[in-house]
Amino acid sequence: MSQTTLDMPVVGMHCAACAGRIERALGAAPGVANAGVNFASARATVTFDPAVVTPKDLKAVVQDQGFDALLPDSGEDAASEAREAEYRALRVRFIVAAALTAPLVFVAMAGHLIPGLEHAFDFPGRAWAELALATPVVFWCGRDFLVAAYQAARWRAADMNTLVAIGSLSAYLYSLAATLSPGWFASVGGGAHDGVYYEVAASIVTLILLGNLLQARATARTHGAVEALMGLSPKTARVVREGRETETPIDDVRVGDLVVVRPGEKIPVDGEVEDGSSNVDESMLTGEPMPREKAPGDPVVGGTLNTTGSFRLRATKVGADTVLRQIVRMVEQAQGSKAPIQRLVDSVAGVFVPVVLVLAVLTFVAWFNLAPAETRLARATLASVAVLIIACPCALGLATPTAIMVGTGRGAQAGILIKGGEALERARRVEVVVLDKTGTVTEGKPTVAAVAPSAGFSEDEVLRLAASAERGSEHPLGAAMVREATARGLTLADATDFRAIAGHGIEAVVEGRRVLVGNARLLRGCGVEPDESTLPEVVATVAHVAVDGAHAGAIAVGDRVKPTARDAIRRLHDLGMEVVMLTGDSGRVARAVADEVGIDRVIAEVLPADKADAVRSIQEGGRVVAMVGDGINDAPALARADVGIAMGAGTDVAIEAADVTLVRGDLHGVPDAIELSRATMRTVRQNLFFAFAYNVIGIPIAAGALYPFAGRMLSPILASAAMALSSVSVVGNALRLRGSTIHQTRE
Amino acid sequence: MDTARVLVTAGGIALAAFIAWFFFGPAKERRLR
Repeated sequence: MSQTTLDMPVVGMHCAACAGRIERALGAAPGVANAGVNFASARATVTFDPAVVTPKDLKAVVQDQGFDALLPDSGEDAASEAREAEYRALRVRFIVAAALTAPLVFVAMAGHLIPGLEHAFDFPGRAWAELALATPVVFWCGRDFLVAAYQAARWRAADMNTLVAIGSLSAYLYSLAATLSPGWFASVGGGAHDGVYYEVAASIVTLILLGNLLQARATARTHGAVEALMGLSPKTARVVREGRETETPIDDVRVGDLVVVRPGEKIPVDGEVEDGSSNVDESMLTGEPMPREKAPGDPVVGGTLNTTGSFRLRATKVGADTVLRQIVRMVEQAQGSKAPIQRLVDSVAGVFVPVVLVLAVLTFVAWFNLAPAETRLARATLASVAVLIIACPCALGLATPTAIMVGTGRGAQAGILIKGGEALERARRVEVVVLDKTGTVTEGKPTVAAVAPSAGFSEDEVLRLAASAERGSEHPLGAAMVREATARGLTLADATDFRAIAGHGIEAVVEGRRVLVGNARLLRGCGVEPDESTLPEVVATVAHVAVDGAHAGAIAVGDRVKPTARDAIRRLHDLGMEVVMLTGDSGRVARAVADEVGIDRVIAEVLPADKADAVRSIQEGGRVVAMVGDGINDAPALARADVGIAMGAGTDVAIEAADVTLVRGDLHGVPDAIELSRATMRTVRQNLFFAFAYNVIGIPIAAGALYPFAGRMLSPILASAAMALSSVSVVGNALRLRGSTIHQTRE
Repeated sequence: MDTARVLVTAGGIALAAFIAWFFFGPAKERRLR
């Protein structure tokens, strides 16, 4: 019996008990030799006989248990589909809840708010009608809260779901008791109708559902923007079969196939150049901005960009074996092992719930002792239930989502795409910012670093002649010269008799003068002795320029530091961050760049595969690390870091691995994102305060503190007012975030 | 002192103590968070 091992992410687990249940179910499936489910990493590892059971069957087993599994290769599509389905289900439940709750609230509130309507709704059987409306809301629309609260209780924890379950259940059950036996409570409290709280039970569930829906929408919108940035990778390859080129889906390319790659295309699979030659931009993989020359026999990697020439390659690795997919797997593993953070509201609820429960018990005891013997049981029950009802802050469900929705929306306006609330919560706590060098601190593409003219030539003249000659070439060095000349406002002349000398440079006639641009060998070959002494010491590729057989000057082309980098790094320091630069370059180059922009610490000569480990070693001191990068080689480190920040110009894999994407590729986006997350989380904390404050004030009243003066216990008016006031405060406060200032990024 | 009062008081305090212990006490298995 042959066996395969499958590693798949599992969605929807609440706790280790869920993991245990899935593990048992998978282990019992036919053909499965061994199954393990890890709650922390949210992954299932299954060893099975592929002849007996397929990965699809295993997915079905997980789905049977009420969870979902993502099969490898189903990729982002399946994940977004699962998110979409969850969103739709949530929306249905919210709509049903809102439709049923609206008449409940109207009937309950209108009598208090509009004089003259006080007795308009006192029809017989009103309590029963309210019961009919509230029951589906609490038990169908709100079933997830009840289940989650039960799960949490099994682990002796209380979270927001516990609070919702206690609040809605106590209001519901108390009202049910009052409906079944109106006389018993009426003897000590208000009238029969005033004594039911169905609208409270239903409103809690509806408002929390609304909050979840808002949050899901904010996340979905960000994901939509992120997906739009991606989706640029080749889905097909031009395969030569039976002498003909056919457009073939990428999954159908086999090892040994001959694939045609044209200029400007991404290379679809890993392979070896069969014939033809070109320069291939491997920067996304290696971080190296200069394209590499590829000749027959050279290996090429899928996902890298072919620049000028066209060639045919023989596929050596396809599908899951390609370098790209291996990196994607590393990313998934790093993401899976990232422990979920406890949400602020859950940690508040973890303390609040037990305190309220204890207060409710003590209220019962106090009333039982103080009240006259004939009514003490009814009074004690009424007071302790009232404490439970008033304690559930309805606005709690809105506190976090509204702030996160407004915060992520504000970020998106400024080109900062944040993937959900967890990323925001983590970004607030960042202490160390790790920057990749190439493409993050530096431009990531070749630019003219220095021009050194020989005697008799000016800087601009050398650059103008070289750029004019290079205009016809597609070589990145030439493109850099043309860009620089245009930036300096030089007018380029037309070149004639253009000739490219592969691997060496070019030759052309500009304004009747013969111009050579290329390496020292080219010039020597043409009888010109190059002179480098005038060039400042820069780490760059040097192109020599000769005009009519005389050395005219040298142009150094290298990777330049982004103009905003220094300023952005100063802002990070102002925010109290330590800034570290991580690079595969030599220590000398790295140090020079770091000094230029004011970076504290440099980790140089890191192999691409070791970047994630470098991030992990910084995390080991218990510090919260943000990693900023753009290349595929950065992706595992982005996923490993507490907050991964991808530059928008970066690659799909990097964007996918990251928590935050900076659309503009400006380093100012990093302090912006951190400031925004701090502002948002500050608003969340204020919102939690508002959500709890009114209800906390209500607790002593519910417990009967005002009884000696008012002669009544908690009234539905008080419960409704607390609900309305806190909701309005929370939403209003969240909207203030829209006005938060985000540093205006400049190009 | 009537018996019901004594029982409710003792039971209530015991319940309150249990709740406090249940959530805050030395946990045998805390949630993996």
